[in-house]
Order: sequence, then C-alpha cells, then structure tokens
Amino acid sequence: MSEIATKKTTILVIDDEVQIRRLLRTCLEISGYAVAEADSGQAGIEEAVRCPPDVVLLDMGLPDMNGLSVIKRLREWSQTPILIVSVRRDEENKIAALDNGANDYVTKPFGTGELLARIRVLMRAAHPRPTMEVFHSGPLSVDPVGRNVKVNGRAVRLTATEYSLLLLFVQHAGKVLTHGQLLREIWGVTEADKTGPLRVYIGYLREKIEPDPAKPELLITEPGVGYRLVVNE
Amino acid sequence: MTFRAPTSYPDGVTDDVSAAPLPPTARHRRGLVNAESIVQYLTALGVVALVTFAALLSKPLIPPEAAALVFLLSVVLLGLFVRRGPTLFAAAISALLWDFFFLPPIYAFRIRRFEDAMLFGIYFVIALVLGHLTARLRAQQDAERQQHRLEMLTASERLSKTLMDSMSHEMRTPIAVIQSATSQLARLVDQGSPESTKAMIAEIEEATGRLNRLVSNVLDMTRLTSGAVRPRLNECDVAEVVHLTVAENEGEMAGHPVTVEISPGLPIIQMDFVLMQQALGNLLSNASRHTPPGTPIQIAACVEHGEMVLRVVDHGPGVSAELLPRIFDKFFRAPNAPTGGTGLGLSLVKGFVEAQGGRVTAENGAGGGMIFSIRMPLPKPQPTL
Repeated sequence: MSEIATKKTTILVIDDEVQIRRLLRTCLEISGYAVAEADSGQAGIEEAVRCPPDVVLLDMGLPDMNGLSVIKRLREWSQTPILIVSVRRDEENKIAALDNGANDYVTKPFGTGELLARIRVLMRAAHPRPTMEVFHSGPLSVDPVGRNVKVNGRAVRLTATEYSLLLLFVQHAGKVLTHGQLLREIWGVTEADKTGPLRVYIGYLREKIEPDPAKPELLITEPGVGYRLVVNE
Repeated sequence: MTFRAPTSYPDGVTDDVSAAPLPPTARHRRGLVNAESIVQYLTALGVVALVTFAALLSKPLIPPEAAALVFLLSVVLLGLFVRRGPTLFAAAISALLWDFFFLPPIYAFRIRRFEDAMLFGIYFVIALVLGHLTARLRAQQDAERQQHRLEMLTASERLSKTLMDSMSHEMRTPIAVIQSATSQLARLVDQGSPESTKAMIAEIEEATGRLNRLVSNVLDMTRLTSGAVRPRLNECDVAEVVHLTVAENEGEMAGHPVTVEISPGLPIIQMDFVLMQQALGNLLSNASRHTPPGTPIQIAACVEHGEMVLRVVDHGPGVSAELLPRIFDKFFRAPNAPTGGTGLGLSLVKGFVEAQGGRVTAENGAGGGMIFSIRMPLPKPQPTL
C-alpha cells in the first residue's frame, strides 16, 4: 500500500485538560482519525507548524493564551479548518472566534456524535464540491444552475432575498453562519444587533421549506450566534 | 482601657499577631461613640441657639408663653434625632434661656412674679418630660431595629443551612448514581449482558444531565448576583424563541399534553435570545416537575396592554396565596414541592427577565394551577422618514 493511501486524516486537539484529550483521542481514533495533542496554545501552534493537521480542535479556555489569539496566529499562514470547543453562555466569544476565522463550534458538554458530524462538515468544506451541483438535504433540494428549489419534489417559489439567503446557507451547508455574516452578505448591514430583517426572512424561508415551520429541522437556530443549514445524508 | 495586644514578649520574641484587626476596631468604636456624643451635644446646643435667635427676632410679635411653646417644640423634635442626654441638656438650657430672654426681668435669671416662677417651673418640667419621652421612644425603636436585624441574621443562617442541605443532596445523588453505575459497568462488560449495560449507561446519562443542570443553575445565579450577566439585546422573533425552547424541553415535558399558541403578527422584540430561552425553559421545567403527569401545560405569546406577554399555564396544585409573593425568592421551595430541586429555577427566571428590562409575574389560575407571565416592553414606534 502506498504512503498516500494509508494516510489518515489528522486532527490536532489543543486542550489543557488531560482527561478531555484522552477521551477525544479514544473517540477520534475509533472513528478512524489520527490524533495529535497539545496542552497549550503555544504548543498547539508549534505542533501545527511541525506537522500540519487536517482539522484543529481548539478549546477556547487555555491557560497560556486565549483561544482567539491562537486562531489569529494560525490564520496568519494556515487555512486549516478550526473547530472551537466552547461553553454555553459564551456566545460573544464564539462570535468573535467565528468572525476571526474559526469555522465552527461545539458547545461543552457535547456528545461525540455531534463532534464527529461537525468534523465531517469541515472536512467536506475543505475539499469543496463543484458549486454547480444540486444540493440535497432531507426533503430539500436546491439546484443553483436552474435556480430551482424543491421540497419533497415540489417546486417552491422564493423571492430574490429568500433565494440568496438560502443559497448562502447551501454554500456553507452544515456550518454555522453568524447573524453578522448573514447581515453583511445579504443586506450589507454592519450593525450586528439589527437582526430584525434577518429573523423575519428566516421565518419566511422556514414557512416555505420546513415540513413543520414551528419545529425546524433544516434551518436550525444556534441561540445567540446564528443559523445552520443541516445536512441530512 | 485599651485592647492592644502586647507587641513583644519578655523574651524579646516579636508577636506577629499584634497586628490582629480586632483591637483597633474596638478602639475605633469607642472613639466613634465619644465623637458622636460630642456632635449630638453640639447639635442640641446649636438648635437651641438657633431657636433662641429666631424667637428673639419675633419677640415684638409674640408673648413669652408662645416663645416657650416654640422652645418646647424644638426640644421634642430634637429628641427624635439625638439621645436622651443631649435632649435633656437642650431642655435645661432652653428653660434657662427662655427665663433670661423672655421672662421679666429680661436679661436676668431672676424671676419677680409668682406666676412667672410657676410658668418657668412648669416649662422646665414639661421640657424634661417631653425630652425624656421622645428619647425613650427613640431608644425603643432602636432596640426593635436591633431585634429585627438579629432576626434577619438568624433567618439568613437558617437559609444557608437549608441551602447546604438541599445542595449537598442535589449534588450527591447524581454522583452516587454515576459511581455505582460505572462500577457495575465493569462487571457487566465481563458478564456480557448488553441490556443491563445499556440501562446503566442511561442512568449515567440522566445523572450527568441533572448534575450539569445544577451546576449551570448555580453558576448562573452567581453571575446574576455578581452582576456579570450582561444582556445582549437583539431584535428577536418571539415565536422562534418559544418554538426552540419548547422543542429543547420536550423530553422533560413528556407526559404532559403541551399546547403552544402564538398570536399572529407579533412584533419583533428587543431581547437577549439566549437569556429569554433560559427564562422560558426554566418556567417549562418548573411546570413539568411540579404538576402531576397528564395535566396539560399551555404556552402562549401575545400582546396585552402595550406589552409582549409570554405565558406558561399549568394545572397542578398551585401555590397558596400567602406563599405566592415569595415564589421568585432565591432557594424558596413550596412546602408540598416534590423531592429534588434547589429553589433556584424561578429566581433565575426573574433575574434573566429583569436583566432584559422585562418583568415576570405569578398568579393562581381560576381553575387551579399556576400562571407565569413574562412581560417585555414593545418596541417604540420608529419615526417614519
């Protein structure tokens, strides 16, 4: 077997808690990933230089430097997907991390299923499919070329704004998009607290694409951060 | 007498404890008392001097008896603010000053006529008695206040004991479950019984969830009381908050028929999405834990009297009217509440809602059960350009 074929996807875990690192290593290795570890921000950056990983799993509460500076330092030279691990009620930090180049987050305490799903999304995004391809998730299909949106095979009519919003989600399928990112991309608005129009349009979109708009399964809310278009294989 | 500790022992060893905080505090307290007395006597003197001056100015207009009443009034009022000594002091000097300035012969302490002597005597006695009475009244009030303070202190001690009892129970139970389940897991894996293994894992999951909720609640309460909760007010869709929160609490509310009613066309409200979600979530979890299985839980959002109202209605036993005002108090638990819980949930609801500029109310429903209402101000109408 050639060297390339056997090379596993490497995940660099930057976390100061040895028990968390051990647990993640076990769970990631069982799922077929190779794991590298670092117990501080500085060690993490050095490890990423020495042996560039495919995904970085970064804890935001490190003893030596805050997670945000680690993200900024890594982003100076690397586009490796960064998945941050944060606690609930720390939305401001999550948003700052996402705005500074982190790709997604999981909230502690998290299940391993959720973590693995996030990693898969990031791996996919790192090797993008052609944007012409039709997107499928559950009952939803979006054809960017024909500008067709279908739910359960039936065509759905969207306004121009609704369509560009949905297309943005499709381009970042599975990944969280912050209120700020959505407002900037669609409305050109830079004030992150003027979320009113966004809330309204998310409501319209859900009315049209969700089987039960009251219990969204496709376009889900990430409380205090933004929205995510779920990828159902 | 001083309380200063010796700074060195005969054998020359310096004592580090000499800097102990207690003695200076005691000295300071004594000094404070003396200074306070002097201030009180000076106040009494000042008030009497001021009243004398005012009475002298109006002397051509008023008879000596009226001046006496003015003096009496000042003594009584003084008695409300200073201690007995200064009050009696003021009574005595005001009597002498009245005699000196107002009783003929004026500018002399002598009294010529018998009725004047009588007036002076009576004034002196009235001033002393009134001064004494008001001072006693005040002393009594002070004592009551002290007593009240003492009672509050005991109450808070009792509270912290209850807190420790319920907390240690709430913490120990899930830890005990996790410990015994994991020790059995090792055995079960050897025996190869997947059903029991799954049951143990389910126990661990539930205990972990309970522990996680408890720790989050305690941390949230700490953040609220220390003022570290800074709401991020955003334009939010109330329906979105309600649906998401109901979905998140579905597991806990299983066994209760749940209805959600959202008035169409609700305005976008300024609030903190996450805080509101937690407030509503706590109300839902409260309703599901304190009502019998099978009783419905209703959630409604509407606009009422210029406010956005989020209402959670249950059909449980409710809370008696005299306990209702305490329902949002920290650590308060109704006497008939089921085992488990710390009494933090509802006080967190109040804290989270008030941090966003809203309020929360609780009342008993007409047909029994509780009605909790979160009320948020509506957005101010935007000036149209």
